[in-house]
Amino acid sequence: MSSAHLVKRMLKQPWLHWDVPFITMYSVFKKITRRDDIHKVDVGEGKDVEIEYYYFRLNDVLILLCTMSAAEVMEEFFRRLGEKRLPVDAYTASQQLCNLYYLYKNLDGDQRAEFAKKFAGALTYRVDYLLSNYEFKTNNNWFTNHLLNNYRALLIYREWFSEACDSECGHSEDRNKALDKVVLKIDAILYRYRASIIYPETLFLSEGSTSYEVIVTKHFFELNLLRCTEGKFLELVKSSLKSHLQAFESLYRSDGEWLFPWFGDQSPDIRLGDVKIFLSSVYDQEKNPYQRVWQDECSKV
Amino acid sequence: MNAVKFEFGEFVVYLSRPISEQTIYSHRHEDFLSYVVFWRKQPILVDPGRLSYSRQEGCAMDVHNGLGAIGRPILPMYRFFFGRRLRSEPRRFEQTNMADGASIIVENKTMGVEKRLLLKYDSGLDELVITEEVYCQDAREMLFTLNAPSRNILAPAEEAKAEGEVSAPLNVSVCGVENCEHELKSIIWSNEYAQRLDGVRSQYKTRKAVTQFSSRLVLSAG
Repeated sequence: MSSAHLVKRMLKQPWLHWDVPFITMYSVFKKITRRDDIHKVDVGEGKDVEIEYYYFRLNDVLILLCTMSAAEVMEEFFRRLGEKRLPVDAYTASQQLCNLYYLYKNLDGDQRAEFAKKFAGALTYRVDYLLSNYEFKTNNNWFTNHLLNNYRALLIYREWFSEACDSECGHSEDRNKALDKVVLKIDAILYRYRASIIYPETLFLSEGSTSYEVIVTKHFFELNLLRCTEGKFLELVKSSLKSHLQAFESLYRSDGEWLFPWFGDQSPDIRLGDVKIFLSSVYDQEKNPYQRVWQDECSKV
Repeated sequence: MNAVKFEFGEFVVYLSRPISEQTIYSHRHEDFLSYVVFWRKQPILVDPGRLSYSRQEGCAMDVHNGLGAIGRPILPMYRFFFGRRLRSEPRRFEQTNMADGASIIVENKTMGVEKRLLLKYDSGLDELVITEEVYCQDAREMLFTLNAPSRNILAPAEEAKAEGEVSAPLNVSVCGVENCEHELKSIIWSNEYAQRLDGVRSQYKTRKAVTQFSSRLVLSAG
């Protein structure tokens, strides 16, 4: 057997399968040593780790809220977070924070107090994790939409959850200071690397995937509604969102019907049901669980 | 934007165009200039999607719609990017929009491949023609692939009838591939993560390696 065949055979080994191209030895080192890589989690024979994490990340919150009461969903999520023994990584923490926020906004007054009691610990644990493990180089060499998701989660937490959780955990000042610092730091990174994240003069994610374009459009839509105005990247999002939403609609909508070509990878974190709920809320002002999350902010903008 | 949209009568065509020289890591596939076609808002030609992240299936050039040289994708997924210069290797991309169609030329000098794609719509006949030409520096086998969500779109009318399916109201015909090996097979595709949908793939492969090849796809209503 020739050496070329040997190399070819070696490259087919599963432990050498790369999910991202690498650029430097440093990236290779990070790829191997990264501690919170969910693809290293053993979820059982024949199971897909991304599907296991879809439920653990509470990504089905909007779909569940269409069919169940918010109180029932709260019980379900409390059970899921308590019983699932999957490790939390930065992306999972971000998704859980945002999805719990969607749930929180669909609860009424008394239920919100119960929510704070039930989830305060879980939320602060995730925020603390994110504050020291946000996905940029030292934690993940693939930082584009992941870092953006970390940023969204921290901003959402800072604006709405901090009061409820800090009253339970009692160390608000330190965390709030760290939050302010990290949020500005991530904003500066996103602004600096914006050319590698989005196409110039648009907010379309430049990762070659329609599905990720949709998910990131949702992130940008939410960032635009936040009260916070600090940071150049956030400013860029706020100033470009309106034209982005128009461009998005003219690209993917024909005579009132959404047509998506689904080029590239499909995000495991958003399903067709979620896409429909998001788009009908934003473009058709349909009253649905997603609209209930952002109705106060939308009325102000 | 990762896609370009063209609307001709009741046809909506999306071309994949993930061009961003600055992007280091991405979720793209080897689908540069592959197309997805909707007719009367129904998917006629689809992207195979991705069924799982734990396997690499669905990412390679040879499963995406359109013509390509085997082993020479215009924008390969795995490149050893040791520097910005190589990463941003100029890929000539020229798009000319016309009243009844569009012409696109793309070239990747590193891969030694050039592709020309012409979309032409005849409103009188309600017919869309997609012509593709591929030029390769070294001789390669060429592959022309079409993925459809149902068998009756791509199977010959007699075959579809024999299988008890209603023939499609849209005529799909491929020209310029007469001396190729043809394979029509059932596939599983996906329009959301891990969702498994039945579909069909029609593939034409040249019998020998060539440096240039062209194909013509005609989609006509009625």
